[in-house]
Amino acid sequence: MRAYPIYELTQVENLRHLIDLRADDNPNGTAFFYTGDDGDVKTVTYSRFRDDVAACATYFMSQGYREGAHIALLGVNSYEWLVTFFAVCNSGNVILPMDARQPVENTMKLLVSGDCTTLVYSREFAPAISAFAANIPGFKGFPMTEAASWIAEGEKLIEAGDHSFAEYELDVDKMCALVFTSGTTGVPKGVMLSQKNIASNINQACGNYCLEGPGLSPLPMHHMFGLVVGHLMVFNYNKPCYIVTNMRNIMKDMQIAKPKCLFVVPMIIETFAKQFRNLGKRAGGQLTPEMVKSVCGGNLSDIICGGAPLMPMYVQMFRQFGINLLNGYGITECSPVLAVNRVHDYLDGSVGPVLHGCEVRIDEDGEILVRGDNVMLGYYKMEKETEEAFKGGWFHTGDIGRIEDHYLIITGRTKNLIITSSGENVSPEELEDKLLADPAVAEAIVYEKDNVLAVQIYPEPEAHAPEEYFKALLDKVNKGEPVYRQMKKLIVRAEPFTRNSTGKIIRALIK
Amino acid sequence: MLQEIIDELSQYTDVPPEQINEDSNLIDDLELNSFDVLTIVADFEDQYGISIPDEQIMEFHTVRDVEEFLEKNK
Repeated sequence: MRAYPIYELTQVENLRHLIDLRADDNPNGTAFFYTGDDGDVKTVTYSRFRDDVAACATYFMSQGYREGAHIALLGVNSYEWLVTFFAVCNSGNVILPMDARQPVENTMKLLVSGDCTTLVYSREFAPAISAFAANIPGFKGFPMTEAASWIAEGEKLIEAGDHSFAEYELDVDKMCALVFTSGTTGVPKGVMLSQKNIASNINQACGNYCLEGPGLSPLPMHHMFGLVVGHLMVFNYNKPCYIVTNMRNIMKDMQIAKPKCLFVVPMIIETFAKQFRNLGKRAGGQLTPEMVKSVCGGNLSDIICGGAPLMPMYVQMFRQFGINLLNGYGITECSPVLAVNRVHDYLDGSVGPVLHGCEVRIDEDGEILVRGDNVMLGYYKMEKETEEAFKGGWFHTGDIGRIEDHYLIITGRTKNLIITSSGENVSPEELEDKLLADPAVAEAIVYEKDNVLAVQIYPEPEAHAPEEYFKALLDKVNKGEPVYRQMKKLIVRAEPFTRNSTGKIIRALIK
Repeated sequence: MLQEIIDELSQYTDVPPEQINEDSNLIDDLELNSFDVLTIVADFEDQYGISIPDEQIMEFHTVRDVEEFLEKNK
């Protein structure tokens, strides 16, 4: 297709500026809407959101959270999640968005490695709070169910003359978010992002895609793609952003939100494809674009898909329904988007043109290197890893690709990291270490097979353990893992793995 | 109940109903992804007028797991 100019919006300087811009432009417009516990649809205007963030931030500042305090955020998607995120980031503190689906023990470990003793949590996690308190010295928890009272308290403080939030001068180059991502070494890395990183990525993403109606993303907000693209980009376009509080209700949510654009990962596309097939079956084999549009709320024209590789056949399938399925590519370290196909400028099988303001170069080994304001500050307390990631002045993504015409094509990864079709990063070494802790396991390799995690185990010959033993071991390890990290296929090998000259198992040979 | 679940899964997955039984694994045998399971669960919730907690969904590995839960809670 053809390259065409980027969309020009007022450039967002930081996350406070983002709220001010939109609240000044369109104070009474709908910023967010969602279905409440009572089944009614709630709407929040831009000015209400600005006021709620200011009040919440003032409350936290009054509780002593100032100048770089670390606050973790654990919860399913909600309006309160977003208010807390902005209140913490915009008051000079650091937010640690946590994966709500991981075991509580993992969250506790991440809090410790992120030097964080404060947790804002949604009601689902209330039963686990005593474990946090018992394991983290000085722990303090704030239940999100009390968000309305923090806001009320903050409003009172502001009325009484507390201007600490309004007068706080943001440093856009300081860390405002610490986002954990699975590393290759089995230890999750804390990606340090600044206000400038996130704001620049909102600007860059809005340059490639123009949103003309409501946006909806079922992706978890702790995911940078779900947050920055699925919610903040919609906000910046002054369009209503529907908050999906429970992913399972997506089909109903689309009827309520009537989105113009969806922001998803490939796993959701696979599910949609099955839903559409069923729809066709029920209609006697005739599936029309009108039927697809109707089940998606009636207004859907575009879907932006990222987080994991997408099979091109889906792009073509959705095009037949009159929906542009725009595949993109990003990485948490880049806040996160690097490239995305555009409505009139796309190449199937590619992740589209690189975003403006983002420099991408392919090195002699084929690795994708990046420079730009959206590239992270570094890994938290991991100087060696940071230095390695930035060698030569470019950020090394660990992904292999090429540029054809002006389109970026991803061809593989240098890291062993497995990206599931839900966009989750799984470090195989982390799971392998758990299996190797068992004395009957001599070697274990975790890999992806047919969209699920599989493992091959070579038993310790002296242990004489039967296959059932390893099945039970797998069940035990899986029990402590979220669904996306559970190993579903087991092969017990009769032969050890092939190793290279330096003694490393050659993963590429494992099928 | 079992037949209703099998019919629903068969319709969704295109796997013939006679190839689905209580021991069929939702992910390994029916090749559902975790998001498929969520949307099917949402359908069951509507059909039987019940609410299935998220932590329960994580325990659904086979058709039997779903059947036992629905039998107990419908």
